[in-house]
Amino acid sequence: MTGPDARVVVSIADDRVGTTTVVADLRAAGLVVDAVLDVLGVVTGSVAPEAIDALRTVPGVTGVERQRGVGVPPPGNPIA
Amino acid sequence: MPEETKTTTGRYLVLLDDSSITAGAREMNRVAGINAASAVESVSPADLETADGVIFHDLGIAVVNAAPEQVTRLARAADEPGPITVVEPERIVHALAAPAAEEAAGPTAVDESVFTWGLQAIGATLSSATGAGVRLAVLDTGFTVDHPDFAGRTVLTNSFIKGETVDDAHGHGTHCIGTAAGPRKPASGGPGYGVAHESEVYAGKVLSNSGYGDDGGILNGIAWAVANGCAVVSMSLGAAVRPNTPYSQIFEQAAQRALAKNTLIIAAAGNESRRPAKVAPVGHPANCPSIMSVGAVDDQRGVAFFSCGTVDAVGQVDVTAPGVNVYSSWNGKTPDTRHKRIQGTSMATPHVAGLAALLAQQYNARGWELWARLMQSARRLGWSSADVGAGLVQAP
Repeated sequence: MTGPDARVVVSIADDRVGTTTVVADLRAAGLVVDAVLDVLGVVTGSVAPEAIDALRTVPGVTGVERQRGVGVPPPGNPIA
Repeated sequence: MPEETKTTTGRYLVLLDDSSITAGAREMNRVAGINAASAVESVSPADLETADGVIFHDLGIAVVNAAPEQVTRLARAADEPGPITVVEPERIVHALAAPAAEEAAGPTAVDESVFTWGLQAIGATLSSATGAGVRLAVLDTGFTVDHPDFAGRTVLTNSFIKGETVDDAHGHGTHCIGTAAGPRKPASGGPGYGVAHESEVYAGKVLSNSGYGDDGGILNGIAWAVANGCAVVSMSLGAAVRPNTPYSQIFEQAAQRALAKNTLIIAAAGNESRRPAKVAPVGHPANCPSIMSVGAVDDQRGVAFFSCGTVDAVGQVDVTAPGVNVYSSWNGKTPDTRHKRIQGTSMATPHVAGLAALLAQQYNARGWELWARLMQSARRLGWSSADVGAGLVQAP
């Protein structure tokens, strides 16, 4: 049932940004924190896929999304 | 919202995995009984009417006549792993090549002996603004720190890619920084190619040397730019999306917060269109409403064939800028590899970012005011707003 950890981004409500409790609650819910970006109200990290729903129920969390891969074509590709 | 029949032809486009077009053709036959003929170059409308369909091998796209039940089977195949990746209704699009009559109104041959055509097209060469005092972040594959054209310039760097320095082993980032902020009189010769040539550059590496990154690294880079007071963030990166895919609520919220802190994010619309056959939707994260999305035009002000467009109610093109045959700095160490000509909405985006820095200096504008200035001053083109938004951005 347990797959590899999912990389996620978590957004925090305006009035909770910068408070330590949300990040602590996210950790308690299973999030391994990569970065706390207070200036954007975003926390990045990874979590077991089945714990994603638990992150959504943490007070002060407004959204949880799986990270997408982004990119540009390799050098020499006709369109960059 | 039901599809208006006017906007679609009744045919369907089937995007095939480009590693095996032949397998895709076999799969269409297996799941839906469609026998599509191969097209080498172009196909007449009569051919399209009579055959089951036609495969454009170079594009990896089949245009097929399919009954509703066949469409369902194709769509099911697209949802599963296999050589059929996307199925969508064929849209009616108009020809986008610039009409000859219009060319007579302006110079046809582009003289790049002094400045690139891109700088000229956006009026940067006629502007007294230089971007001086404005901080401009470019989040990409890094920067060629020792490039001779940037000697003496303020370029702050930071790598958000584990195990890689900011040094740009790819080249894409160096090209984008060159367009946004490179010199008007390059030390290594050739035409001037930078828009905001006196701006302070913040080069954030959020894509690896192979050109890949993820949301976390990008958000890291945005946060770094906001914390450093950058007025503009240029992001020539993205991920393709299917039509009607919701935009990221998290990037939208991040973009709104960045705007509230005086940082405008500008991102490439994407290169997945193959006009006129196919117009692809604006990709992630440019499809967020509070991120300015940039399409590409060529030196005749025609829409670039690859430029993504407004095809759903999610993402839209906000403005366009030069994105074809764009000359800028590259990561080579020899005289003939220090510059390169490439194309893409990636190249259009730093034109807009550099221009935003000029506007920021000229009017002391930031955030939403900067957004408004860019839209207000854009030159309207003769094309649909769905393809070019407010038009071709113009310098103050």
